[in-house]
Formats: sequence, structure tokens, C-alpha cells
Amino acid sequence: MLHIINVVFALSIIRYGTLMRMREFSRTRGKNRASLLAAAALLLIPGSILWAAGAVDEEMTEGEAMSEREKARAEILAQMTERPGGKGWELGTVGGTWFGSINNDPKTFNTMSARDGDTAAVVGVLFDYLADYDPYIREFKPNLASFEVEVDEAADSLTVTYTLRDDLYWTTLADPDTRVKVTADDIVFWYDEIEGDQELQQPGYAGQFIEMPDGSEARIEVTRIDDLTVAFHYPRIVANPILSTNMEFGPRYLYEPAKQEGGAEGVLNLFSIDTDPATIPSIGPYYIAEYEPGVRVVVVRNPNYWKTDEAGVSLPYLERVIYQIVPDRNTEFLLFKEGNKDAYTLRPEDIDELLAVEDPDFTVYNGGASLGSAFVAFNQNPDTMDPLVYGWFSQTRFRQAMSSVLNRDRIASQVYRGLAEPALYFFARANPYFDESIRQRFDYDPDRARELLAEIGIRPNAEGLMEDADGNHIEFNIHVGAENNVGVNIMNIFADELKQIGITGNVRPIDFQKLVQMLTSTYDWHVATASLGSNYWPEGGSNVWQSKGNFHLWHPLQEEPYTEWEARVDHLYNEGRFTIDKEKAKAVYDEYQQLLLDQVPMTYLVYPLAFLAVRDKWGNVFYDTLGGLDSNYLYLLDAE
Amino acid sequence: MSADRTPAERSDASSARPATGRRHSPIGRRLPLLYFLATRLASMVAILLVLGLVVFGLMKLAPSDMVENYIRAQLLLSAERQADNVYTEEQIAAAKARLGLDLPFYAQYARWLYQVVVERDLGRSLISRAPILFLIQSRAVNSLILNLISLVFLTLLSFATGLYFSSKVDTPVDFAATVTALLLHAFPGILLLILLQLFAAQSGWFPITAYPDFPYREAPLRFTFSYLHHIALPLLGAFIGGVGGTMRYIRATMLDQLGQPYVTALYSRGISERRVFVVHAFRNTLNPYITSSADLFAGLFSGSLILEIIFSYPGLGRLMFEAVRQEDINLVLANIMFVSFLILLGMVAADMLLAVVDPRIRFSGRGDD
Repeated sequence: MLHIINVVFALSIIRYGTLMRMREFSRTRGKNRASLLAAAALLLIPGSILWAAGAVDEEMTEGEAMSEREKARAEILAQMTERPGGKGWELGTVGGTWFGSINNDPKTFNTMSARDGDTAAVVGVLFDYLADYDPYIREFKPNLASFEVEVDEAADSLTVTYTLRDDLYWTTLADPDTRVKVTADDIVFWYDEIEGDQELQQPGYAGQFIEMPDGSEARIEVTRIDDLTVAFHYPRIVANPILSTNMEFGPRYLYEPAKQEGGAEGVLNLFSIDTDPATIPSIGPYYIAEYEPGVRVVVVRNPNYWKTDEAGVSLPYLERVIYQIVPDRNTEFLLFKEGNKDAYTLRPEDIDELLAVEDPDFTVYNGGASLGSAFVAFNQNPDTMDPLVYGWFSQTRFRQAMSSVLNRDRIASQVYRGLAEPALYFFARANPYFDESIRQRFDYDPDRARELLAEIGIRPNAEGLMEDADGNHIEFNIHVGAENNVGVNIMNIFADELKQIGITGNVRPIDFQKLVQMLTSTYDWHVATASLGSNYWPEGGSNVWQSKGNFHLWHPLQEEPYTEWEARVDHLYNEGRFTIDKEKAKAVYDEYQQLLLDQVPMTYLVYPLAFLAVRDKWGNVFYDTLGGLDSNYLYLLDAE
Repeated sequence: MSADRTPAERSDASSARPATGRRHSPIGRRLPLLYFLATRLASMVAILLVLGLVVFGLMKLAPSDMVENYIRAQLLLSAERQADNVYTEEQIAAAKARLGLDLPFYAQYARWLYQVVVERDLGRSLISRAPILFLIQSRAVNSLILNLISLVFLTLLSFATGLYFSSKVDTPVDFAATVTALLLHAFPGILLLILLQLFAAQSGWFPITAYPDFPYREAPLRFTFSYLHHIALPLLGAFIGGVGGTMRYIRATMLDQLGQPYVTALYSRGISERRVFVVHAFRNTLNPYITSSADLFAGLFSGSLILEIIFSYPGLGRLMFEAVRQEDINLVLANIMFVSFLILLGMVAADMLLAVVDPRIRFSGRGDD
């Protein structure tokens, strides 16, 4: 608003100068009256805007403001629909075109290199996983294959046997009559020759190895049992064997010759985006039919997809999906409002405008709290930190005090208009070992923060500024990505809360790449905020939570655990991974979660609520943050 | 986009280069045009070589590199329902080595030069592994069409209005036009584009994106009309600011010419006002315009990033923006070298064109001999 006022003010000055010249000019022609009228008219607009900007709202107490916000929140949520997934689907009919959008061009059609979100969304329609995790019941279910886990406790080994469906074929849009059967050889080839080839630097490579009790590493081997069956042999018993062997894979009949002829470069160069997409095989729900650079990607239904509804009709119901490439979120929003897009994920600033639409042909769904949250991390790297700041941050009480100053309710209220929940848990709700009773015990409580600080000799001086035992004022920098406006606002609230107890937190918005460099390479930061997704799996984040991890942000790549609690975290992490008894594993993971919450190397902020607007012409719309929107079952209501 | 810059601004950047006072070699005296071209081409090659080195150096200065950006994206990409993306330090080092990112920037540049000059291959994008030519060609055509239409409108409108209003000096019409031109010139381009898009959304008269939602091959004629409909508003946003600046420039130059003694002399000889305006004064306003238009040629192929992002137009700007952000050096360098080559070519062309329209420059070489 201030910027607009400045622009208008500048324009009014230009206009004023112009008018003075006009007055001079018209005086010679006796047109003073007309000039003055024109001047008044021109100054009316900026003048009225400046007047409006100068108007002062009636002041409220903090309590009244909170109450108003709560009322507004309730009003907003009342206008939305909650329709969580995981329930039975209605039977639909095949047909219809879904208009979606992506923000960037796909970078490749090769599943090996499809790593960014937009590329993965496009290429992902060609493939499917062996097993599917159901976040509602928190268990894996058969998908392309059924599976069986056999444990040999005597030998401390385990075997997972996958049996592929007998009706899976690689087919292409260009030549639908040619069907290449999917066999166990596809899986073995992909596991050994693609994911298992270190030169190809696939993210699944590290997951093929298991840490043995003696500290060495051993590989999970795969063998072909018959045409449709493969077995993965684990060198020791693991708690979640499906997770590390569940995979999607490409067609061996194309990748194998490419590798034989061109080695690693041969397979990496396959299916680049200049390939005719109609020639790319699919076992997934769609084929890629068309790609026009910078404009759109069109995918069409694969009638050979194995999944069917209860009536035996092949899924998906959608005949075609058109992804328009729209780099700007505001343009996406306008496209949805105009009716040129079938679904739109709302940002907080879009909510009022969409809810105010009269006679809308869409419904806004409240998907509930997000699974993941951004965090604030406290650097504890003794090699790169300022010794003074390190002295504070390396003390558990200090970090607990910082967590007690973090006012999550205020963040939710002021930054997200109340449309967020405090992030007090370590595991995501979908995590098999999520337990609501295990939560952050150092939630907002400034008095407790003062007590915790006093326990380590940090007390306020005569001016109310916190000082350590040596008389040093507690002051540090808080780094945040400059383009992350929400993050900057949150950190300003954090700094304000710190100020209220006499600590100075200097918010430093910096280029995001520079921030990543500081976090992962130079390690020269004090406090930083970022996001790493959710702790979806108990054994997830191996490079974050283990002290040897390269993304163990607060002190990475430790040869030996630097602190006792980190040694304990390492121990629990490994114990949990290899504990197959669920009760015993729960005890391990309960301690693991609580320890990381209590030690506060990083602390989570809030879970924003997720909202999705979908046109009412579609049936089977279920949406929540656990399962998202399952487009396989969407169907056109008018088609009935 | 270059069309947004006024000739006056361009004139500041590149001065007229009459060949007066130059001492030519014997070859230069015998074959002056050939000598001129050869020296210009040689300097062009030298500039391009240095430019490439500078680009590599600058990309190296950026925090993190392509592999680190890629891995960061992997780590931040929440792989819900699936296992983690894990990259060991060894994998990261191997990836950098495979792409040559572990080499000093001058060695990387030498490798790139070898590939382009000796193997005659622009190579593949380091990110998408798609041929550079494929990535650039379709977007280059879109940028060319947009910029060409914009340039034609800009030139026609600004010359026509500049000429017209220079004949109406000190009248209310001229005053109003000058103020309007100033406002157009000063109005922030990005704000104008956003306002135009909001206008399209509110009125429903124009689409809010700048490109048809069906392919050309499906219905060529319908596509053409649809394209013109889609492009109308963003095009207006692209050239209208430039019209303000260029019109003021043409008007000012014309007024300057009309105040010259030779114009008084022409009038005194009874030559008609129209002829004085169009044939004499106007012709002399072309010199600085041509000189300063050296980068117009390159401008035709360069992207219009803001317009392309706001209106989802598939031009080169977005491609390059992404490439720079992701530090896809092959793609960045190919485009920068291409555009730089066009700028240098434009400068040579401008020099030659100047010699054609201005006899003083054409004949200045004789004085040396």
C-alpha cells in the first residue's frame, strides 16, 4: 500500500509540475479557469488516496484483536467444505478434460532425472510403484505387485518377495497395439543397473545398503524367482523393508540397450524433452500426448492401466489432462477465477476473494493442517561459530528458552490469519509412530524462558537487556530467505518476542541460494529458518538426524557424535530401524521424538491449513493433506 | 526488451562512429570496406571470447553450483509415501566431476569452446540434457514474432507522432502530447502489464494469457486470430512505454533540426514545408537513431522476462531466467553468445547503414587519403 501511495504521490508531483506549466501557458491565452479545473481534477485522485491512507483505524487491545481474528477465522472456515479422503469412491464414467497447470516446463521425460516437482508431476503419470502406502491406515498395500515379508530371526535376515500382476504391459500412444509385458527382469535390471549404478547418482542408491551391527555396510540383493516374482534379501532384519525396496521403474527393453551402447550417458540422455512423447512407454494411468515448450503438456488416458473401479471400469475416468505452463501464481489464480482451470491451491491472500465470488461454480475444500512445517535451527558447529554465540547455543537450556519464546499462536494468528496450527510434534500425522502425546514441552512461555536462561547465568541487566555471566549482551543474527515473505514475517515476530525478554535477534533476509550455501557448505550462521518437508517415516531424514549426516544442519558430518544426546539420537535412530516388534519400536521412537523435541536443535513453527478449490462439475472430490486429491477417481458429473 | 529503451538511451550507450581522422593501413586504403568489415569482425570475435570467459567467471562467483542446487531441490522435495532422497558427499563430488564443475572456470570455458568450435555442437542443457538448439529454437521464434510486432508499432507510432507534434510546437495539443509521452515513458512497465492483465480479467474482453491454448497445427487460421487476440494487451504493454520515450526523442531532434540555418535557407528558397520536414529535417533525425539502434537486431531475439512470466508467454526470457537460476551454464552461455553476436552484428550493420544515409560519413574516408 505504501508503495502505491509513493507512486501516486510521485505522479501527483509530476502532475503538479505539469499543471503549473499549464497555468503559465494558459495565462497567455486567458484560460486560467480551465487550467485550474484540470489541476483540481488531477489532484483529486491522489489526494483522496492520500486522505484514505491517512485515516486511522480505531485502536483495539491485543485481546480484542485476537478475538476479532478468531471470529474471522471461524467465518472463513464455515464457508469451506471438509471432505477428507480414504473413503469409498462413487462409480464414475470415463470422459472429460481436466485443466490443470504447472509453474515450469518439464525438464525431461526420463524418470531417472525427473526430480523437480513439475517434472515429477508430468513424468509420474507414466509409472507406478510396486506397493502403495495408505496414510489413513498407515500401512503398505499391494499395487503393481503383492508382497510378502519372511523373517529369519535365527539368521538375522529378511526376505521381501514381490509378485507382479499378470496384466501389466508397457504400451505407447504412438503404437498402442505393441504391448511389452512387464516382468521381474524389469525390476532386477532397474535395481541393479540403474539405481544400483553409482555412476548414475540415483537417490535410491544409498538406500540399497544397510548398516550392519559391526558398523560395516552390506547391500540388499535382489534375485529373480520367476517371470513375475523377485525377492529382495536383507542382510539383517529391518523394521520397514517395503519402504526401501518399493520402487517405480522404467522399461528394461529400452534402458538396457541404451546403457549397453552409451553407458551412463546413454541412459541419462534417454527421453529428453525433444523426444516425441507419444513414443514413451507407460504402465501408469496416462500417456504423455503432447508437449509444447513453454505452453502446455497434454496427457491422455492409458486404457491399459491396471487399476479399475469396483465395476471393473479401467481408471482413471479422465480422458485427458491439460497442464498449462503458467509461471506466475497470480495468473494461475486469475485462470481459475475465469473458469480456465479446474482446481486451485489457495494462498492465504486468495481466500477472501474466492469466498466472495457470488454463485460460485466451485467449492473450497479445507484439507486440514499440513503435514510438514518450517523450522528454526540453532547452529552448534564449534568449528565455524563465533565462540561467544556457540557458548550460548550449545547449551540445551538456552535452546529450550528460545523455543519458549517462539509464539506459535501469534505466528498463526498474524501471519496466517489464524489459518494454521502450532507445530508441536516431531513426526507427521501420517507417520506410523505418530503419537499425539509426544509434543514440544517448551511451547510459548516467556516467564519459563527467563527461568531457563537464569539457570545458565543469563539474566537481565539494569536496562532489561539479557547478559551472560561475563556481561555480554545476548545478540545474534536470524537468517531467512529474502524471497520468503512469510518466513521474514515469522522471524520478525520471533525477534519481537526476543526483544520483549531483552534479547536482540537481528533478522537478516538473504538470497536463498546464499542461505543454502551457509547451511550446507560454509556453516557460518547463527539462527536460520527453512523447510525440509515432513517427518513422514520414522527412519526418514537419515542425513538430517544422524550426526554423520551431510544435512545435520546444526553440526554436519560429525565423525563421532559430538554430544551425548546426539549419540543417543544416533543410537535410537538405528535401533528403531532394525526393531521389527512394533511395541518395542514404538518405545524407541517415542524416546527418539521426545529427545529431539527436548534438545531443540531445531524447532518447528506452524502447520498451515491447506485449501483447494475445485469446480463443482467433478465428482469424487475428496481432499485432505494426508492423501491429497486423487485424480484417478475424478469424473465429470454431467457425463452421466 | 530493447523496444522499451528509447533511442536516446541507446544513443547514450553507443556513440556514432564516423570514420573521420582514422589512419588506414595500405590494405585499408585500397579496400576500405573489406578492411572495415575485417577489423570489425576481428574485434567482434575477441569481444565474444572475453565475454564468454567473464560469463563463466560470474557464474562461478554465484553461491553454490548447479549440482548443489539440484541436490537442495531433492532434499527439499518432500518425498511423502516414498523413501528419502539421500545423496552422499561422494555422490555429490562425482556429479560435479562428471559435469566438469570441479574444474576452474577458465578450464570449463576452454572445454565449452572446444565443444562449440571444434566439435560444432552447442551441446545439451546440463539440467534437462535436451539439445540446446531444441530448447532455444521454438522460443526464439516466439520472441522474434512478439518483438518484431512490438518494434513495428513502436517505430511507426513514435515516428508519426514525433513528426506530427514537432510541427505543432507551443500549442496545447503539443503540450498535452508531451505530458502524455512523459507519463507513458515514466510509468513502470511491470505495473502497466499487471494492470492490463487485471483489465483483461475484469472486462473479459481479452484472455489473461498471451498464447493460444491449442496448437498451431490443429487450426492454423484460428490459431493466428487467437494469437492476435491473446497478444494484443501484452503487446500494448510492451511498446507503449517505448512510444512515449521515442516520440519525445524524435520530436526533440526534429525541433533541433528545424532550428538549424540550413532549414531557414531551404524555406528562403521557397521549398515547401512538407518537403523541408520529410526530406531534409526528418532525414537528419535518422542518424543518431540508426547509430543508437545497434542492439535492435539482438532485441528481436531477446526475451521479455516480466511479460513472459505475467502473461505466460513462451519466449526466451523465461528459459534464460530458469537457466541462470539453475546455473545451467551451457544454456546460459549459448544464449548470451548468440545475443551478444547479434548486438555486435547490429553495430556493424548500423555503421554501414549510417554511411548509406549520411554522405558526410560516406565520404569522410577520402579526406584521410
